Amino acid sequence: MKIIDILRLSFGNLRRNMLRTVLTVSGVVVGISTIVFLVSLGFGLQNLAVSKVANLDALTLLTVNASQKEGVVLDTDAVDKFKNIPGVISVSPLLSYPAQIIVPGASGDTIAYGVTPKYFNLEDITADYGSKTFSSDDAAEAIVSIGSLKAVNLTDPSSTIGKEVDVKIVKIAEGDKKEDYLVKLKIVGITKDESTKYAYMPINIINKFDGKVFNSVKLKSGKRDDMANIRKTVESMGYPTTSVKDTVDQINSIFVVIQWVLGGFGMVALMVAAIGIFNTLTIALLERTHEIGIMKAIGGRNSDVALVFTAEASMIGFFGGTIGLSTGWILGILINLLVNFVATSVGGTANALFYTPLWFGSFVVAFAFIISTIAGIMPALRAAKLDPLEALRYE
Amino acid sequence: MAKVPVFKAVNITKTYQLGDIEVKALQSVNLEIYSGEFICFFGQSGCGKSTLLSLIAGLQGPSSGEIYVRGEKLSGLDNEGLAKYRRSKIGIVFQSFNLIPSMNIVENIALPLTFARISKKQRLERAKSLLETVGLSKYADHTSSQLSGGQQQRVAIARSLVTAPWILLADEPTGNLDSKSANEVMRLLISLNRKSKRTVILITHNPEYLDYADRVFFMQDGKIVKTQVNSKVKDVEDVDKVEHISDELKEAAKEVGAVKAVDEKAKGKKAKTEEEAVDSPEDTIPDTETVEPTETAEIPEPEAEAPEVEEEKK
Repeated sequence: MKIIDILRLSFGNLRRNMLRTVLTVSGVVVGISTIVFLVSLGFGLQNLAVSKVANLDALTLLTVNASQKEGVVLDTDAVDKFKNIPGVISVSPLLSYPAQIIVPGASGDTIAYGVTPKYFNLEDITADYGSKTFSSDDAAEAIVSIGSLKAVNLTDPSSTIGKEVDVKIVKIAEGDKKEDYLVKLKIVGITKDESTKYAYMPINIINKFDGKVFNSVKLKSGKRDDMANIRKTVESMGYPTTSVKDTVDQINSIFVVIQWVLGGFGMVALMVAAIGIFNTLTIALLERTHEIGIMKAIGGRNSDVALVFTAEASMIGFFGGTIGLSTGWILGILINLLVNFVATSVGGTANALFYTPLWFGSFVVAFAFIISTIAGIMPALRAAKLDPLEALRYE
Repeated sequence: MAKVPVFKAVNITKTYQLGDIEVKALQSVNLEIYSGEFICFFGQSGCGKSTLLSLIAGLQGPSSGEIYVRGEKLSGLDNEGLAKYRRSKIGIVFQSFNLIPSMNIVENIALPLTFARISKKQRLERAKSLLETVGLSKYADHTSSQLSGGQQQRVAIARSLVTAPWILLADEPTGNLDSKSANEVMRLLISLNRKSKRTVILITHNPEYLDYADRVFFMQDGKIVKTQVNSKVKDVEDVDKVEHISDELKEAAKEVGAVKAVDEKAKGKKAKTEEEAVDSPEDTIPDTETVEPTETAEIPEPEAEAPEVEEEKK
């Protein structure tokens, strides 16, 4: 038989017993929609969690740390090498030292970070008041957290912007000997961060006192896909690296487990549906035994009979899968709307809690199709093996 | 007549195992059937004629012996080959019609062509032309349950002819029909044989039909006890005539002990037809759906112009 004729015949058989077909398909729909609903919730929450940790830009960033190994120094030579790694579009070194902000009559501890002007953009650090970055690599400017300014009573951002302060940078040299350097910097930007104390300043200012060995270097790649290669190259040079991607990977690996657990619940429902398909076809086999006898007597091949039965199971799976996918997806949208409505009405933010990736949708339909087809194989083989003469006598 | 028999059985036996008891359904059956013959297998129920039919139809194999169809051994065929044999070389007409209730009439007729991977357009065309031949064109879209028994049997005959088979096997085709429908079906079978030279094998326990056969195989206890050549073959016009079966057949039947059945059947038919004759004059068939011989003649010959069903490869 031609495939189109097998499909026609199978579809006709499914239509013949509409109620039973609908019930069997419903079983698959329940299973698939449960899987889609729950796993989409998993994907949605995962996206939400990852987006709270890092924006997409953060995933193109790599932090290269100073190495403990001898001879591997994170200096300007190293920075030049990093610039030449394919895929790296931006390199920003960082130096940090303990420091004090000193105004007449008061002083407060902070940490001085020497960075390049583009660092703020790379790290997604935005000053809430004043300028977002330095005017040049050598400008005597600082961007400071409000936490560092409290100790020196500069709590009003608008009057503080533009103020010049003394910053004492403390360098601990060999033998615990402290060396102090005093610089005069103009506060050009302030962040709202009250809990942490820091003061960003152009790296060249700190470099003047230092042996040009950086604490860390930020690398930015043009594409996220380049990240892995860049990281491998840097690590092969002997430098340890960290990336937001590490955190994101951890979150993802947790969510993979969550999704499997959620999908597992739906899987149970799908297995029940598969047994339903098996049952339906077994009954259909008994009902149609005589008919199978007729088909064989007038020249139907065993394979024709088997294929008609298998196609019926596959169709149940396909319909169930497609309808189940739509149902689960729509259910997710409705629940999300409801949750967001409640959340926004009590002053929260609306979030996308459900996310169904296209690949997952296609996978689920294919999965329903395959599981159903497998459930249909045994009844189909039994039908194919029926003795034509006995089948004809069966009433 | 070409002397390669279209069907040949050499010493076939068929035994069934019923628990510990071995039942011999057929014992050393030898026969040859030639192209264009009208053959009757006649015997009481349990004589093995249905078993013989299932062997001819390729629905099961013999316990021993060999069956040749146009010189080809049937035992050499695998399941696929047997399916093809049943599909293209044999047309079967069952006592219980055996149409598939979920399909309409045209689809039923076209089903063997569906198995043969013939395109939908071609097979429906062929099915419709056969439906016209059996005089049921207007029922094309009906299902079998909407048709009378006689109509269903004519559809079944159309289905059996759809692949232009070599042999038409009819197993008690009139067994479930009233006498009027039975006559229609018989007329159709006889004219298929006479006009289209199709080989017809009729299995029956009704002696009225023996006169139409070229040869009659009398069967008893799983054996062919007598083969009788019928020298006075009746034609299709005689179906509704009241007549005793010919003496030579009667003699043959008497020899094998089937005479009682023959006589009773003949008497019964005579009595019934005399009653009917009051308002229906002889030779006029008051039935609009009667199959005219001219229509029947359109059925393609099995060998000559028959659209040799060429199966499309997948």
